[in-house]
Amino acid sequence: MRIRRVLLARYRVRLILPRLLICSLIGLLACQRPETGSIDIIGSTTVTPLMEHLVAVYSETHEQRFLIQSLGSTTGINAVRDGQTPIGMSSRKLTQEEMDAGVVAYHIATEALAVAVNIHNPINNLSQDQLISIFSGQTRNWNDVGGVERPIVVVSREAGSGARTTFESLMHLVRNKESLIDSAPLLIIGDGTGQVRANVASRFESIGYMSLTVIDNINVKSISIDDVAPSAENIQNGQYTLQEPLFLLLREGESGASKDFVDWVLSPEGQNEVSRFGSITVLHHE
Amino acid sequence: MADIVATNFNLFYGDFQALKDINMTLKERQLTAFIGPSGCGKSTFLRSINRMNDLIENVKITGSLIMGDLNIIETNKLSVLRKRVGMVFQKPNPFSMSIYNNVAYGPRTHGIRQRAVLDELVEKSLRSAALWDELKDNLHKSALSLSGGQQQRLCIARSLAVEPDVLLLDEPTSALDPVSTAKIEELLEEIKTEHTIVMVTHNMQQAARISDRVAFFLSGELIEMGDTYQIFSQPQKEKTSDYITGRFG
Amino acid sequence: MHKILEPIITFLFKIAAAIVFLALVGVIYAMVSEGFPGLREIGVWNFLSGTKWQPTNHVYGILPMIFASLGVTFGAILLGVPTGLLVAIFINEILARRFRVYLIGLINLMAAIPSVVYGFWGVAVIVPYIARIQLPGNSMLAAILVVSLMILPTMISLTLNGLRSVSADEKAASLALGESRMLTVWRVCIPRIRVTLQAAVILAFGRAIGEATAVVLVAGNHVQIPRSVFSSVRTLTANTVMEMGYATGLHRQALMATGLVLFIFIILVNILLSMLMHVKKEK
Repeated sequence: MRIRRVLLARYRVRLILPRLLICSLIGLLACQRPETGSIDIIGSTTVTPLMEHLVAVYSETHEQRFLIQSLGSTTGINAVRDGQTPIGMSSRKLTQEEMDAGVVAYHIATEALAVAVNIHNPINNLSQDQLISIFSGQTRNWNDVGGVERPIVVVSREAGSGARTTFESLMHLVRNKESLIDSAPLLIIGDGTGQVRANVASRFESIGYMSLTVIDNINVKSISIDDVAPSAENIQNGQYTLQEPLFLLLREGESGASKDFVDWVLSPEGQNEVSRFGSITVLHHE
Repeated sequence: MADIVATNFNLFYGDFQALKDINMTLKERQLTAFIGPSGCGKSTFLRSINRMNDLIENVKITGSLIMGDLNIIETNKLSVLRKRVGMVFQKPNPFSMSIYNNVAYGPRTHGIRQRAVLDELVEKSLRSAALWDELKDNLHKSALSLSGGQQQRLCIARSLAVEPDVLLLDEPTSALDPVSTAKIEELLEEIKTEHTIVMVTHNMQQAARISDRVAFFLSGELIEMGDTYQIFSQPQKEKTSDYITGRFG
Repeated sequence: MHKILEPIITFLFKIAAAIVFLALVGVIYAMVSEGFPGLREIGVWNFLSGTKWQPTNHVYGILPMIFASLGVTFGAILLGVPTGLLVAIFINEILARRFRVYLIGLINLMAAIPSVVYGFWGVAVIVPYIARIQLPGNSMLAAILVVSLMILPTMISLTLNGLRSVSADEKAASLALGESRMLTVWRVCIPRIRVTLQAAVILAFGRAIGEATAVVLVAGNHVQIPRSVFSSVRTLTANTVMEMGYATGLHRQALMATGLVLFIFIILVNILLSMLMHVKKEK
């Protein structure tokens, strides 16, 4: 009891005391569960824009509300696995571990990962070797790849991101399980797709990777890889290799409103909306 | 050292006129007491002598106030003025530093840095204030640990350390007990041969005891000024005698 | 009526105190229960001195991030504390009375602005300027500048309150001895409020080392030992914010251990500063 009194007597506690009480009361009151019937969709920041569009269309014709939370692919997978959410979003394939834990992935669309540079950068095309060299920090100046004399600033996602995992594996940027991107001398890590885009948009010397749909051609532009541009055609016929599968995730055996929604996305109607949004539809159903 | 001469001195706080046409001479090496009821302007005039009224907004002054070659109202060199004219306040206000640093504060302000010189000044000032024997072994104690009377004597020592010509005291003993009051009055009598002292007091017996000259203020005017003995035994003006005899306070 | 009210209110106060106490205990418990096992598995030395942070490989070394956190924190303190002090002195001593209310209102507004807004401002204004001097712009310097701005309101309000509490009498005494106004503040007021200043610095330090949201936006987040203030760095807090969402198992324990390291560090700094205070007092 004396210890408690001694600790409580520290002035800091006295200052915070009444405020903390009020705040926790308010916090408890504010902690309302979302309206019953609302379904959470948690996961990849890359899938989120497409999902927002699909959910909006779906809600017009179906009595169902959704709550989308953009927390990253791995978070989404874990949330589905642990039962914290009925639907998850991922921009990378599941690991064997995750599949064994009962997570099922439905491939609903394909996102192209674009390599983006600032709109003012004269470069429009780079070879895969050049890209590997840039992102691993070996090529450090734009004039080594035909651009102006400026240092290259690499912008990447953080380690748990689906986009990064996809990019690294397709670009062979992982050696001995270590990411080569970490060796780039001028490296900025953006917390989410938006951050990466912002960092490329605001800086002439930046280069980064992001989903094709966030390229606005006002501040950032995509470049061709080995002269293959990220057009819808090139993506669908597989010539443009930097592709990201977008998945909706459910727990094994899930049925009901969540499954209905996923089925709708995979239906011709849903896929139509996917291509209206600008993503590439899957050519076959699960 | 020189006399302080006020000529047609007026002071306004905004629209309110606190001092009306003061004309007086404060003779050097004498102790002049300012007496009068509360709010009569005596403290205000006192504070004008070392320009402490500058701290108050909206103060306007006309007339002249001159000390020898120094024009008090117009000078820009406040630091020099306040070195020559020191002030002790009603409530003892020692700095929350050691006794030594309190007394050394003034000299340090005016550029004296050498330890030996400071040591000497501190001792001399504390002796003048009759504090040296009491405190010489405890110079590094905090000044706030002293009693009220000691603190006020310390403040006097502090003011004396810059070797001023003039010492202004604004009711210096009103907050103190009789023993401390007596000690301070003794102190002032000793130093008045070396300094011009101007003291505001509410205590007429005190004025009678230690001052050489007395100035009586009322409602911002200087009613009468003269030798102490004359003012108290044969005041010229009726208001003066009314105040002295306690007809009003 | 009062007879019933008194025990109820007393009881409420006790409950509130208990909640605070329990919350603190809860936080410490969470950190320790997950952090300790993590530290044991990784090895305290490996954890603190390791230079690589690769959760996918189960490599957890936080040394570069320790450097980053220390750099940003002390940089922000070095910049923010003197500035805050000077602004407080300005408001109290130089600024005309009638403007005081407005400036103080502005400072209170600054204190209320959310961290993320400071981060956005940093991205929009600070980072491009730094990029012009040295790429990439997102750097330890950017974080230092943004964080020092965030600790200013705290510094200014506390110092200002302290200055206002210094009695006018002491200032008058100093002026009457011939000292100038500014030097009076320096020699009399500042030493007088030493305890307040120390409290302000401790508070500012806590805010600086704990800042994550704004730092994530402007610091660059590259896990490397900073070569200069222009290097892209990741602080311990930014790392936790970026990865906690999806960390599991040892990764999560490692992040908890990071929190533990921060916590212990802050306690050590507080103890150090308290000791310094006591030593000076005895003098």
